[in-house]
Amino acid sequence: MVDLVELDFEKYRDIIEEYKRKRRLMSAGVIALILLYLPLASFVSTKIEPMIFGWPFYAFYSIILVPLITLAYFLFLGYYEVKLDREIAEKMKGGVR
Amino acid sequence: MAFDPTVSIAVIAIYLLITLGVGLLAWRRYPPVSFEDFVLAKRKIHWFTGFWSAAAAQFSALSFMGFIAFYYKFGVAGYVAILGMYLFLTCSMYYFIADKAWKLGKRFGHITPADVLGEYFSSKYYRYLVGIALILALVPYLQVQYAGVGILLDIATGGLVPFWLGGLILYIIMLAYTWAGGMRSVVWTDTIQGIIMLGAMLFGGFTLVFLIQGGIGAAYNHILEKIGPEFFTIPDRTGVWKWDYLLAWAIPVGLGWILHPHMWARLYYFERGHVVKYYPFVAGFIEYLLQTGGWIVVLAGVLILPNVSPDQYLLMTYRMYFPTVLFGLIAAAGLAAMMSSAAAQNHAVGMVVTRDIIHTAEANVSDRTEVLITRIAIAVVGFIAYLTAVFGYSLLLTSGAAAASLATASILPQIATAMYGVSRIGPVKLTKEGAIGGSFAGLIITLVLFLSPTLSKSIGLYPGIWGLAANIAAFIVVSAFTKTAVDELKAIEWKRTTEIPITIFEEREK
Repeated sequence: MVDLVELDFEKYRDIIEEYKRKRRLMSAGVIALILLYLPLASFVSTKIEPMIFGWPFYAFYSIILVPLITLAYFLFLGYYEVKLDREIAEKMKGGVR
Repeated sequence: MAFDPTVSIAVIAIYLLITLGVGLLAWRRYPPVSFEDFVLAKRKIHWFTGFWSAAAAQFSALSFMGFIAFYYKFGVAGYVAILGMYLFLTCSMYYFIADKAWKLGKRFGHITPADVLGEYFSSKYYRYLVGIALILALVPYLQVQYAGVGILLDIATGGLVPFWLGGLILYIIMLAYTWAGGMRSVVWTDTIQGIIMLGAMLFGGFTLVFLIQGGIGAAYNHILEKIGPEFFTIPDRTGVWKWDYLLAWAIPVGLGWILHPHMWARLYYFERGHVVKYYPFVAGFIEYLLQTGGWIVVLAGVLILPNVSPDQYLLMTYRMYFPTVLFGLIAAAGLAAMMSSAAAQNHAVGMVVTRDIIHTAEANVSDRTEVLITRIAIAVVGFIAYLTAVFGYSLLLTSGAAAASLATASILPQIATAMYGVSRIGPVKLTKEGAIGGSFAGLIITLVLFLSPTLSKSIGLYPGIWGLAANIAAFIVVSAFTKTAVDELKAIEWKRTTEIPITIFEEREK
């Protein structure tokens, strides 16, 4: 088990708040993607024409377009959050030692 | 194509021997030395095997046959329900919870969801309740795997291996390596099984659609002509999957997968914490490939086999068009999907029995005894699930989705409050009694609605969503009238723990 007892959290409050703010912004993107998928998919579900690359528009939208955008966003999030995590850790170390 | 069951049986037998060999090899190389080693491989799993194991534990009879049955029956509405549910709800849940769970696990030594809730709400009775609720939620899910293997071997061997024997074979082989090597054997076999399964689904799907329909675009056009546009719309052609029902189904089911103990344990077992930040992408990407492969199989054959049992559609299509050796390989991939989940689930049930029930009742049990109890629990609960599959088989997706939504209805609101260190909602201080009342209400309402289809139908929507609503309402109302509030200092400590960067945890552990 990792011991964090002696960490003075108040000392890093500003750094942590900055981390949380950035993370909250990213979370908004995840929620936006959920909204993009569900109601819009519902809207286009009644319009199966035109065909795109031989696919009905609705199928193209829900099977190719939105999932790939979402996956790309999740990949970006993974990369960005690891980078952010390391940056914040670096700042905290600067403050402690 | 002519089907020769002996060839198919030979291919499947080779696959089963390889799986058993890999599972036992993991045990020989790293024999478990403690309870934490047996259930979490000392939290030292490499990212590659860790992600494949998580994906394979998620792939199951549901992914291989149940979900495809769904697409076959309901068209694109089924695909949107499953992929949308997984990609948006399950992956978002990973995003919001995975790193917090990893950090809290590192600091406080959590292994199961009941560890988290029992500690946060300071109640050993709650720990019992959550442990029992999650076993109740896992048994039907485990039953699905046995049923899936039974169906698969029945078809793949031309009826030579009946339903009951297929399930029994799965039970014996899986028990052998899970008993011996614990989590490490499960992870090693999962990795191989996950790769086989994904490869087979993509290869099979694309080959079939070009072989039968002449391409994906052509398949769409043929279906539009013969079945009509309703195969590609919501509501679907049966009229069941309207948007309100779809959402009410997707929310409790999609949020429930991670709450199952076998998936929850996979949030803790990575050696490197940064890896969990990639959970939403990796889990989503693998599932996307798998489900899209499955959808393409449906596009390929729905016009050729319009009236087969949905659960059997996939294998029947492969059997019609592939040479027996290739069909045997595909069937082995299906077995891989089911065995990987069954092993993970069975192992998790053993872990829950020991950790949440035995250990809670008597903390001074030796490590060796805990490992032994876990092994016995794996054997006993696995056998019960096998028996329920033989005597009470239902449509694959129905059981699997029920299992996930039971987990959501039982503990999701409480897990969310613990992960975010929440101790009050508005003016209401959350209490131990509120948490127990909420879980109890969610569990009972969901079970009652699942067990009485008439009542469920008259209320409308999906039972799991009512269970979740009952949990939230009871959690808040009971909290308002009871006094054992969550310790605010503890809530702050948990919240702060989740705010510390993973890098700090890793450096301190060195």
